[in-house]
Amino acid sequence: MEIARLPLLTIVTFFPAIGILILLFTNKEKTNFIKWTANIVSAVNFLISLLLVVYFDPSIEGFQFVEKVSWVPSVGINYFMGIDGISLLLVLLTTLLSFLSVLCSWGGITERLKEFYILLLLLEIGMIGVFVSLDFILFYVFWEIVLVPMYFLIGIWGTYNKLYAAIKFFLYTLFGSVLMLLGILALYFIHGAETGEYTFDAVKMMSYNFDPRVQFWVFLAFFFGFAIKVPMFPFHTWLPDAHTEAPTAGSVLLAGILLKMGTYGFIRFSLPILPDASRKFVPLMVLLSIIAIIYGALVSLMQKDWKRLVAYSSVSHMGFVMLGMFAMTPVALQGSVLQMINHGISTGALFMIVGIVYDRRHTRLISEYEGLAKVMPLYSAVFAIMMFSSIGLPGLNGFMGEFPILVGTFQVRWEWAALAATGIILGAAYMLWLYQRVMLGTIKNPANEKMQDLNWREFFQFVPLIILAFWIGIYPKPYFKIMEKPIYKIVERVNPEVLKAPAKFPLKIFPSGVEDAKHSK
Amino acid sequence: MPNILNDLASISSELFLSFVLIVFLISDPFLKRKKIFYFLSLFSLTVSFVLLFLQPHSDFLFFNTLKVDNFSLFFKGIVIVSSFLVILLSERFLEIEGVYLTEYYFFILLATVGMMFMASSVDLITIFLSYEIMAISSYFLAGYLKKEQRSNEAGIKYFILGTLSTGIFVFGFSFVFGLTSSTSLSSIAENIRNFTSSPIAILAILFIMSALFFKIAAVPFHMWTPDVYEGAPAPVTAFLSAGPKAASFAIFLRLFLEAFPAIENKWKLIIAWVSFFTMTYGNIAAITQKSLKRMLAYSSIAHAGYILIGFASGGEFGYWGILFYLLSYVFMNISAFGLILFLRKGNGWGEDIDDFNGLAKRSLILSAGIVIILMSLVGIPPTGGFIAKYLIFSSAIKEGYVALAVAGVLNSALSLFYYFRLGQAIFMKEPSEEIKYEPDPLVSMAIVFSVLILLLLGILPAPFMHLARISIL
Repeated sequence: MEIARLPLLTIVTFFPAIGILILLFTNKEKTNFIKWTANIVSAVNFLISLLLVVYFDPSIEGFQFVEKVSWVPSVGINYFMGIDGISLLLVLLTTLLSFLSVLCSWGGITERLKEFYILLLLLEIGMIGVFVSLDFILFYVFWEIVLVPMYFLIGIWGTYNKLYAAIKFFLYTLFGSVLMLLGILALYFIHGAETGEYTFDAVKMMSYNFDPRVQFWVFLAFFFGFAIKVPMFPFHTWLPDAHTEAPTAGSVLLAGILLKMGTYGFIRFSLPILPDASRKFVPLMVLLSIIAIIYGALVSLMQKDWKRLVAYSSVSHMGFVMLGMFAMTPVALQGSVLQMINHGISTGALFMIVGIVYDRRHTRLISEYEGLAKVMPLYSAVFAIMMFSSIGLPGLNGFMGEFPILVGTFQVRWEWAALAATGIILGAAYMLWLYQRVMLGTIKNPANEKMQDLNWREFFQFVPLIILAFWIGIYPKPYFKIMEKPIYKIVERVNPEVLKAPAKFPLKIFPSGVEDAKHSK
Repeated sequence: MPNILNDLASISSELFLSFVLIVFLISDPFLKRKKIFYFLSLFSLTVSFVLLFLQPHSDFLFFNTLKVDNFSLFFKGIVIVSSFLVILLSERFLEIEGVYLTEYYFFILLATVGMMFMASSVDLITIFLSYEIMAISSYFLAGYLKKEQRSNEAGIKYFILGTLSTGIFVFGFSFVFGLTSSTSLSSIAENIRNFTSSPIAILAILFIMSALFFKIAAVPFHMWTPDVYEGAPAPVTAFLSAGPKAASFAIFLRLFLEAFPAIENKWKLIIAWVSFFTMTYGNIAAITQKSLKRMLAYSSIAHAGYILIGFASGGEFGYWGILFYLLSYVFMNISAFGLILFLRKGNGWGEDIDDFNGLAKRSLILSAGIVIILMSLVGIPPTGGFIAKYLIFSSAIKEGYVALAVAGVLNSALSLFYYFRLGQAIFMKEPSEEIKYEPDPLVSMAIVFSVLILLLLGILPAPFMHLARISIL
């Protein structure tokens, strides 16, 4: 049990720094060495993060692997890390997708490799840090650190309109996060004045009941920070630009991880710390989520650009996550958290899929491609799986996220669920239509006749995602089990009535779901 | 007067620098190799920095005109370090421009002495004298390149407007003296209590404030800043934007906290509004600038606005924040202006943002350092700029100036737009042939040192925050 005593979270967070240091002092001509270093470092970091699973105990309530060191004692800032089931899943998703996005850049990135991989590894540090921080200032530091490498990734290695997309991404998210900082400061001073303990410790604030009026304003401040990141309608306009112009690795991480930072912020901080305000904001949040679901899907239908289509589909999918979260029933929240993971898997894969043909043809226009299935059979099979995962076909992961969200929402208001369900239909429409246009039919464009199918490296980068898609789709129990305790705790805090009152539709979907936990109490 | 020796010991640092200045004047005609003055000034600044730690604290020096407390020592430290960095930046510049004269270092050191006295003055007379020593030296420095039109213009403009503002300053003093019949800050504070509603007292602080707003470049007294900063030689601009600004904030704090606390509610409101307009104007005007010097000039106006938030909201966090802000501000501004000295364009310097195009392809390490400086200027962690802004905004939230805090954070997010145009130029554009990248070890040393300090202030801020906290008035 020696390993369990190591500061595992610090190691997982800062391990990529080793890679950064090695790369900084490497000659930029040694391209192979640079690629291998980055790949090995990110792969090893993924393996280290698996240790967290080994030593994680899902039956414990509260945070595990806790590390707490005083950082700035005079104002109560701590270096405070810890994870529960929700953050564990997101950390694993981060390390996996970081590794895959380093891997998928092997062929696509040809210039300024050294800087590229340094920035990717720096980004990984920031992203993991966001999910493991339990001190508000530490959280904010990592939150902001993420922006800088992503800005440069889009701006340097992006396509056509990259400068505009990069600064737009940076400005939008910075505007949100500085307002969030004010919310954090307000919590700090109010908590300090009322309890006498000035601290940025988020866990302590989770068990303190703030005045509802304070909660209202702080919720609003947090809302700007998180909603811009998610992004919720109407703050989504940075997303299509940034996702479309970013290099493949950037898009994968943007969609896969950065968007989750927003939803994670809501579920980790807004709901448990500001429960009264969260309840008050439910109508607005649900309205915005439903608009995002339907609007995102409709806009996806209209896209001529393959990558932009996938980008807008994210708006729609993240709408589901937010809807499930603010339905505030245990089932919906479970679906919401699982949907975060699912979206990372399927949209990450879809961006890699676009990236592969983009590397070969340097165009993203859907009309440029037709009948690719003939020349790229393996590719078309991978695409099909990921498409169905994104649509939510039963047996694949997407279904296991969307279904509980709809069920949980239905328990609250059937109208919400009905509106959201139209999003699923539209989702099937735009994805299937996309597949039909690019994969099926006959090849008319001579440039497509000699397209190469996936090579072994490209295929390998999809393997973990395909395995996960089937695993979650067929046997999601371990995932639900891991997030059971923290979700129960959040619901207990934000919406205790739902646990007391007998559910309107006492559906028992998952054998080990939160329902069980409720009855056993 | 037995304690005159003790008094002298308490200002040993300033005395030492003044002694060096006399040595400069005497030895200059006899020395051929002027470079010795460069080393001499670096050496003497180091010695006077060390002397700061040995000075005994004292509240009533020289008939209660000077005070050596943590507050003044903190500012003296900032001023000495900033002059040191500026001298590191200057050497190569002077050599290339061919204006290698002793006077340059003489005026920098003289201004430094003036600023050090500013930090410890507690009497209207000493405040005025030390302020003038600093101001007159900086007029000379701004116009130092006598063959260059821009520099002449900057010098003249700075001189005319500067003396005007000094006149207003003294005019305000005369009102204060008329009301309180005293020049010592502590007795002014006592006597002004009887005049809290007197219009003369309001007029007096308005005059004094205007002059100080001029010095720290706050709206609406900021007009001179872009022109002077652009026209002055690059190292001088770095100097003007750092030390004098910090020292002016020192007398600003000293005057208003020690002499006018009785009419606090009046000047706080004015400062709050000035702060709002200063940061907003500075940021909006900076967006359209093409010249790095002008952009940084407007940015330094905006920074004065942020610092004033701390002043307006006050409280422990406010003054603490101002001190920490000035500490990190000095490093980020000197290094930002110092960047100009890396690039040669024809016979001039790379002063435009476009001149930095593609710098990352020439020097990745320097470019990474520039990104850290920019992050600090915006206030993105983990840099000193973030901790500084955190303290300032904390004070605003704590004291209930929420609107000011919101304006402040929105402004600092907006500032990203123009600062990162430099990052964009460096990393995302192609280098042009006419710009030559000429790194100089001393300039690099100053920049690297500043970048490391900025990171240190951001990652391990605790000791520096402690230092700033014990130094508040």
